[in-house]
Amino acid sequence: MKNQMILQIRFVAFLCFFGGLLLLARNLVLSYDSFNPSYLGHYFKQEVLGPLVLILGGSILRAFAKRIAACICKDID
Amino acid sequence: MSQLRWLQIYGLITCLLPVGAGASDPRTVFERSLPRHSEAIQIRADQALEHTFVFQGLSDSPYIDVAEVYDWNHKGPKNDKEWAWFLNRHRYFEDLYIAYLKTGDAKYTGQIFYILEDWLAEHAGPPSGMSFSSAWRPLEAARRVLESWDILLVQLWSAPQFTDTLKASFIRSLDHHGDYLQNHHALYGNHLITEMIALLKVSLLRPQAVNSEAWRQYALDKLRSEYDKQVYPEGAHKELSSHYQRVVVRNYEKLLSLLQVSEQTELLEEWEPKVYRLWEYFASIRKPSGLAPLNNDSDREHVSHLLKQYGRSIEPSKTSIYHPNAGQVVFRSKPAKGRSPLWCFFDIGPRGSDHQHEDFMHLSLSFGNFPLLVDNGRYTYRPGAWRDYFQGPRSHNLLLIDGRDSDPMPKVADGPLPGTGFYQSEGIEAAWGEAHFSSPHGGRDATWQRVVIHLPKGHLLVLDHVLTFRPRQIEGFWHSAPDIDWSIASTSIYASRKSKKSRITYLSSEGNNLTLVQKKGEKEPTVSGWHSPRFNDRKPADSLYYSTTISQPTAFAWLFSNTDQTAKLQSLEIRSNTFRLAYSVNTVSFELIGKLPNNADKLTLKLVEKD
Repeated sequence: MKNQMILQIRFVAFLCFFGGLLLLARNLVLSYDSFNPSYLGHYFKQEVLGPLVLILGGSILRAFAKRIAACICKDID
Repeated sequence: MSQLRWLQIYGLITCLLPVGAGASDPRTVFERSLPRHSEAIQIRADQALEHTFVFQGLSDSPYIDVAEVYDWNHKGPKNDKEWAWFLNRHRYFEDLYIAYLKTGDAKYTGQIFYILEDWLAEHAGPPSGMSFSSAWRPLEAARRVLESWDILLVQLWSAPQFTDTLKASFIRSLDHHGDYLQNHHALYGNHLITEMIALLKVSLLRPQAVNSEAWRQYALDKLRSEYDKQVYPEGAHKELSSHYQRVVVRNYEKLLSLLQVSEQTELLEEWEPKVYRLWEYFASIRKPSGLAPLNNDSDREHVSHLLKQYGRSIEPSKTSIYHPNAGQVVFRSKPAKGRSPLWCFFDIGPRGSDHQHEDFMHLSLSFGNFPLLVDNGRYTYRPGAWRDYFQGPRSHNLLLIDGRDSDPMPKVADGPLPGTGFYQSEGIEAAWGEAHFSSPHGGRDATWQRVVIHLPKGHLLVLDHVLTFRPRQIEGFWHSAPDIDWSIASTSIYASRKSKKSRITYLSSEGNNLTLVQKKGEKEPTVSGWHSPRFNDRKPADSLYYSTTISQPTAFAWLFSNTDQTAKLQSLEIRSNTFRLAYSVNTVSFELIGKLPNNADKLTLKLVEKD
């Protein structure tokens, strides 16, 4: 039960991480020619921040997958 | 002390009453003055004799000939519930009574009692809970008390047609109104204020009712707490609509009148400055013509006439003003030879607690009585294409990005919204706001900064800075009043009315070509180019729709020159948040250098005359 839960959480983490990477790559490809260091702050907020949150979320989920699974499966097995 | 005074009035009034009659001293409770007889009133009264009524410009009859009764749920020619609500307010009793006073013909009062009897037969008692029905929406109950039923109780009590049976039903229903308004009033907004004024009035009209004192105390407590909740410190009602500002200020004037006739001097002294603050705000936003802007759900209201009507002498402001909580900036220039005074209303505030439009960063502009840029009003409350247009961004002077409006602002605010502010220095004033465009898939597509700069000699500059890093479709709108004509020349746009003319020039920092299209009174494929001076009334109005595609941060500058002068933009450069703009007025050139606000920074501006 617990191992199955870990697997599922890792799968979700992978989707977030990989999805974030793809989104970041897409944003950079679509906007690289408009990049202007004068607007770095705005560029970061519009094009980088969203995918970065997804990547970080996926990484955190992957790192804590065992603990989360243990917490969810507590008192079940 | 206050309670004692009320008990004295209670005693005085009950002494004056015939036992069980429920009448009271007109000098004590009839706090309002009726309008003078006029042709319009006579026409409305004669129409009422034929069971025909005009509400919000729409005429219809709710009378069912066969049954000889009224259909009190009749929704008028447009099948609009607003019409049924107005029907149940009985405001036409006033017209009939005034026509009776003028002519002495008892057919007018006879019609009042005929309608009253029919209404009472249909509505024996109020519903057990809050209702939005035609007759028992709390606002309609309140309006009956405030605008029509007081005439019956105070002015027509001795009329021979007012039979004892009808009087008994009427008094029973009036007491029901008191209980209903206390227990099932609106939870917030301008309706609640109206309902509490009505509750106070019922307590005065019916001092002998068992719950009269409870009604009075409840109404006064609620009015006090609602003023604090619903009014910003600068005196703006939080719905941020000129029309509802008028409704609220008139209601609080009614409170003053009620306190005056009941000789509540302490309460009167407490309320007088509060009501004055509402007027001060209202006067501060009016145009040079005396009219109010049509912000949120508003009609064309004449503030100066209202001030005169209520004996409030507040001189028209000659300087610009910033209301930080309401988020409204009113720019003004003084009149001078050869040019009209500028008035510009720039909305950088919350949406409003109710009756909101999607109008963040909309601006209206007048040069004297020349309404160059306007808000298009409200027209209707019925959902559909018309409501979408008048309430939505396309009837305001705004920008859309990829066809979408900016993210909504909060309904109310406590101080200036983030990214907004007001700048004032010698000879130049400005205000700014910032809006974001969220992607439907999450994240942010773009940021839009708008800076409105009031230049010397009464010209106005609008700088729109759109920050995006992908190809985006930009659409913008400039709407004018119905009697203004636009014409597009090669590098300029002209707006004119008779001999008055304003020249508009524009530039883009990246050299984008704008596609300019004039639209007037179009219904297909989308509603475009309409103006509504009042509810249920719409007129075709010239509007300028412009569009372009950008793929990097781009600024657009628009210079609106005052009527008799020819100001023209010459160049625009922008890098990050620093811009440099050149313009000329006749033969004199100016350079404006500024730094747009970034995060908590303030705007900085420097204007120099070039040799």
